[in-house]
Amino acid sequence: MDIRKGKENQSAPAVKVRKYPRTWKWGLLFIMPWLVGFLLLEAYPLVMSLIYSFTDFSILKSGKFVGIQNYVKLFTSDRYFLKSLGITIKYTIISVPCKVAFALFIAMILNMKLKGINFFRTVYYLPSIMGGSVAIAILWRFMFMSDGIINKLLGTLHMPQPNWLGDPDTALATMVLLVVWQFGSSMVLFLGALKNVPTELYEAAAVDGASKPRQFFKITLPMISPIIFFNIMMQTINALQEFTSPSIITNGGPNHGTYLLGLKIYEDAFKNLKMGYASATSWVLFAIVLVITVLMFKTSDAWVFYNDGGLDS
Amino acid sequence: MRRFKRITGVCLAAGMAAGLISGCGGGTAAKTTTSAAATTKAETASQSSQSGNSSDKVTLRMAWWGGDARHKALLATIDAYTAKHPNVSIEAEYQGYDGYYEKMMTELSSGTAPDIFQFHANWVPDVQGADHYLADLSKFPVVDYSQLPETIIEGSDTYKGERVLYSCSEGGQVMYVNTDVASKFGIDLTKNYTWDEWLQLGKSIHEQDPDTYLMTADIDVLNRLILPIAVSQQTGTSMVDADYKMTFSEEQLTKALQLIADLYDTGTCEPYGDASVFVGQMDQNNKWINGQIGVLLDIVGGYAKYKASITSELGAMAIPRFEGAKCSGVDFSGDMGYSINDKSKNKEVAADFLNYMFNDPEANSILLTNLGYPASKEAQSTLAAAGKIDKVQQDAAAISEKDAIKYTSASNNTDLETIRKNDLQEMIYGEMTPEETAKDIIEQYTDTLNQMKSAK
Repeated sequence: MDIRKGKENQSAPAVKVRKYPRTWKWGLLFIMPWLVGFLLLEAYPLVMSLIYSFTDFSILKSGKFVGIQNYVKLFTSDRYFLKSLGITIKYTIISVPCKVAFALFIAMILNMKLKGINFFRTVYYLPSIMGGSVAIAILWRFMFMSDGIINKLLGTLHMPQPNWLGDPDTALATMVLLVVWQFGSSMVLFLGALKNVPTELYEAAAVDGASKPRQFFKITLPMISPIIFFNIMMQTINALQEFTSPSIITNGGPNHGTYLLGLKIYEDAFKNLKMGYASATSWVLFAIVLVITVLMFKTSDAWVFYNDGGLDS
Repeated sequence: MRRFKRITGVCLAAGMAAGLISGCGGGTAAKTTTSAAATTKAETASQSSQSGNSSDKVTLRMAWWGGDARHKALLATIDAYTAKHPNVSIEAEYQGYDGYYEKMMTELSSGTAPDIFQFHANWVPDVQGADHYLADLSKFPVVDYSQLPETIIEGSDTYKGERVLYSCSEGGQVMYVNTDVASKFGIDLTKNYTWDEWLQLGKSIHEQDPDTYLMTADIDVLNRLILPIAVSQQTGTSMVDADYKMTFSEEQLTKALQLIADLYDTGTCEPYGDASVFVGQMDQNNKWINGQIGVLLDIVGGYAKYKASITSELGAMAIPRFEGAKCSGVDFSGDMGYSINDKSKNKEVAADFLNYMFNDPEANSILLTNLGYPASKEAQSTLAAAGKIDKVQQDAAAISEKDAIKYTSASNNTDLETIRKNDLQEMIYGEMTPEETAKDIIEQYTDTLNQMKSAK
């Protein structure tokens, strides 16, 4: 009713055009539960953390304004910030491609017409349900310790038994293994995308004599590229903020080998009681995530294929 | 129809919004009600001569960390107290040590801390220095400190003239020994080894059995126990004095760091990487449980968990010393205690319960040594006479007290600990020599101590 009125009004130049229908207040009311939650639980802490980042606020004592001192200290005198940032980036660069590739691989297997395939799909998704939990991280720790079950299995096969969690390099690799193991969510998205690739394309390609690998690279990958892009982006953001695994399995060690930024922020804020400083680190991390995300969006034009030509973007 | 849809829509939206608002605020509202009621009750209680005996209902919150045995003992103590004081109910909030410190700091700062809570003496300067978070227990005559040694009261419980902690345990550092391993490899529990003898013994044990190590240590043990002890043995005092000055030289620190490097080089200590999986949980170390590690260092209060973790008999022995050491280097003090939240509305009742916990024979007989080796002399003698304190734990307390010193609170500062912890790891992984590490620690100590001094 209101919209039609709006259209009628458009023909009368003297009448001001309404940008929104009169029912906008109802819309606002409907999103109010989310809006209140967002403002209180997300926007407010976000703004406060920005303010704190310019203070020497400790959890126990209100801070005083210190300007950009926290940010300067991060890059000049904190010997663990750049190290931690480097480890976080290394972790992201290794874990994200591994996880996405593995999820795609499993999705392609589960996309085949096999007997009892739904059962397998459920089973393969299970690690993702449990994967983020503290209990699994503890289990992982016991599995990968020097005389844990993994090394015992390797021992029976007469293979080398690395000190998975005792060596800074292998400790990070163990973290990567855990996150790759939680491939279920990406896999489900890939599975949905694979189902949506029109079979006619494969039939036409087969008629033209295209091999299976060629079909994969020339049809499958371009067709599911929006989902690949989405998965890479989300996994990158998650990896840059990883906290649970290094906190529970190695506590950032050994020798800061798994001291990811998420853990450093937590330790600075709650163990060393430097909330202002930790807030500044959070904002630097936020800026890094933002820049990476923007860059990914920019490059996506070159390799992501949208059926509708990317009209929504 | 459209009108009906609108009304339905409004109802649904209003319902959701109300649900959200009540969901966010419900807890607060409930707490406010409790607090308001409790305020009145606390005032009433404070007027009565016997706090906690008032007929008005009072609800206290109490938090602590620990293992199952401590949880059961404290819950039973609460039950015993509330049975005598039916108007008081105590909500228990208990957990393991992991995350307790962070939780307490957050709750104290947000004003949501429990009325009574377990606290570590080392945390007091940071917390009370920031604000008046802990109640001055000397204002509550019901809290009887007469059974605590003056050294504990002054050294651990008092901050800037106020008694803010009631130490429930006392002790210092000691070595716990798997007596089967000791018999097998000839570890003499009665002997106070020198560090050189200790390294020789460790080397020979590891040579005899490559899977066995004389001892293990996680980063906290290296950082908080072995390094300060090794430095203090040379200086005869804690690493930092009350005026925020370092008491050690670069040579002395280098010698202490070299000792740690030697522990690994000789195979005396389990490889750092293996032990790092069990930070804060050395009792769960597989090698210790399987009798492939002979000795652990910890505080006297850790006795129960180590005893429970192995099937062999547990023994106690003194920490080795440098030749000509000025003292044992052990920090003997009240390490853990209970405080009352200064913002609590029921401080009188909380004080009454706190006094019951530590000075009532009934509570002593329930708690036994589950809060560590009792600091109260009365509890010590009563429990010892009743055979409730293990002989080994008594020995451990006596061993740790001999030639011990008391560290200053500045020595245990978190920032200083972090400096040592970071540099120690780099040294162990060969990124720095002990000499370079000592130089670096002293540089960072100097900066941090200057900051601490100016912030004082």
